[in-house]
Parts: sequence; C-alpha cells; structure tokens
Amino acid sequence: MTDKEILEYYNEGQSDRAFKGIVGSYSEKLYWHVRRLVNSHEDADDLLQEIFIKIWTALPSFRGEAQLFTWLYRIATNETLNFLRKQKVRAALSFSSIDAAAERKIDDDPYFDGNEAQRLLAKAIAHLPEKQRVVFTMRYYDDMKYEDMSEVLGTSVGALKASYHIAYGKVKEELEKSL
Amino acid sequence: MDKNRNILDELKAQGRPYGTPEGYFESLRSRLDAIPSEMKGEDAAPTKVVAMPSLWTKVRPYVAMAAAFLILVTAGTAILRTTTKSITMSEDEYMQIASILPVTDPYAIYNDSYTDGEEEISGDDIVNYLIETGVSLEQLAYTASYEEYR
Repeated sequence: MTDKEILEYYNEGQSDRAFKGIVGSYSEKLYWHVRRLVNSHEDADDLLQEIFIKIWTALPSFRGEAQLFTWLYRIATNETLNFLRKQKVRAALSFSSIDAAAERKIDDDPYFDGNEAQRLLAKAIAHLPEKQRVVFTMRYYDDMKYEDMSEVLGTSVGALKASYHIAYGKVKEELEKSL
Repeated sequence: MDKNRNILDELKAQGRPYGTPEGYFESLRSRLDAIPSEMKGEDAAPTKVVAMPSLWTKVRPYVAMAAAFLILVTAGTAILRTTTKSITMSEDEYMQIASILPVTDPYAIYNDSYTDGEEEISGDDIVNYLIETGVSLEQLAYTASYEEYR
C-alpha cells in the first residue's frame, strides 16, 4: 500500500485500515532501523510494539504537512533514543560502562550472523554518541537523503553532513585500530 | 584512508549482519495489526481530545497563594501580640526622656493634651513673638508676606 492510499483510508475515517497499511508497508523497515540502533533483536521487538502503539495514538495529529514516512521514522527514532537514554542512565546508576554493555549485547545476540569485521563495525557504531549513531545508520545502511533525515531529526542538512562526517571518521578510526 | 574507506564499503556490500527468527515478520505484522482492536476498550478510534481546564483549576493556585498569605499574616500578628510587652513609664520618666530630645517644647511630644483647650495662635502673635526674640527685619518681612498669603 502506498502512502497516498494509506492517507486516503485515514481521511475517509477508515483508521483501522490505514493503520494496517502502515504496518504492512513500514513494520519491517522500522524494525531494521531500530535493530541497528539497539543491537538486540529482543529490544527491537519490544520497542516496535511501543512504536506502533504510539503511531496508532498519534495518528489523529498527523496533518500531512510532513511525508508519512518521515513522520513514522521520527516517532521510531524518538522512541529508540528514549530507550537508549534510559539504558545509559541505568548503566550510570549501576556504575557500569554503557560501551561494555552495548558490546555484550552484540556478542550475546543469537541473531547476529555477521563475520568478525561486521561485529567490529557494529561495536564501533555502538560507541558513537546517540545522535551520531542515528545519523550514521540512516545514511550508511539506509542511504537516506540528508533532506529526509533533516525532516526526521529536525536538524539542518549542514549539521547532519558534519555529524555524518565526524561519525564516519570515528568508525573508520576504530576499525583501523582493530583490523 | 582509502583502504579503510574500502573496508566500510566492503562491509556495506556484504549486507546486513543481523538475522531474525524464522517467520518473524509475519508474526510481527499480525501482532501489530491487532493494536487497534486491543486498544478499542481504551480509545476506540484515535480522536484528538483537548481537555479544557475548569475555572476552579485555573484560579486554584491563586486562591492557595492568598490563603497562605492570610495564614502568615494572622500567625505573625498573633505571635507579635503574645510576645510583645507593653511599655509602661511613669510621668517622671517621660519628662526625663523629653528633656534630652532636641525640641523646643518637649512636653508636647508625650503629652497630647498639653495644647488642648488653648486658643489658636494668630499671625500677629507670631510676629510679636519674633520681635521679642530679636528676629531681623528681613525675616519679619518674610513672615508678614507669608501671613498675607494665608
């Protein structure tokens, strides 16, 4: 189902059908977006449930000023960032390292089926600050346009380019040290 | 630098390193599809509801502030009344204090009734008094002009 069809259903008052359209078109895309950020299938699965509940409850506030997909990515990204912040606070309260916890998640995830270099890449991305991690994954994995990322993250294109450049350098440097 | 850039490109070309349980996306979709019906009890159709605050909700903070102020003033007054002793002085003590104050008529300070029943002093009385006390002509002229304006 296209975004246009989804919105037509919603405008006709068929919100259930519109929501089903969103689930059909976006659940897998949003899963991968979240999964790359949280590095765990279990966490991504839990988060996706919360994200779609939020989408359902926030659907009346969607006015069509933004593209549907940027609106959905915004909700998913904000929820994921909140989750990562909570993890950070929990790690700080238990006097443990957030980086070590992220690495453990990658190592313990039974559904991680990449090679060693890909594991190191995942860890290098996990070491990035949250916002840079989001920018890097959106650009590197999803090839998202800076203009769309700007709508999703509410950040200027210039700042996003700079952020990606810095993140790319950090990841590259870490891989360089490890490989 | 180019070498590392190639490594990142190579890793990207290898595809995503993450897997999912078999049939995961089908089960995920069916779980997510059920969200509207599961939430029907709480919120049948997503509608925008804007709760308007009542008048009492709006004025409650101001009423609370006014009540707190009133309680403070009442409590303060009560405490002052119970803890402050009234000063009682004998007439001699009053006079003793009055004598050390730099005024021309110390009795007038503490004795409100000192001037009671007296006739009002006229302008002529003042001029006569000033002449007797050796005031200069200029000052007298000034006093006279003041009297004209009264």
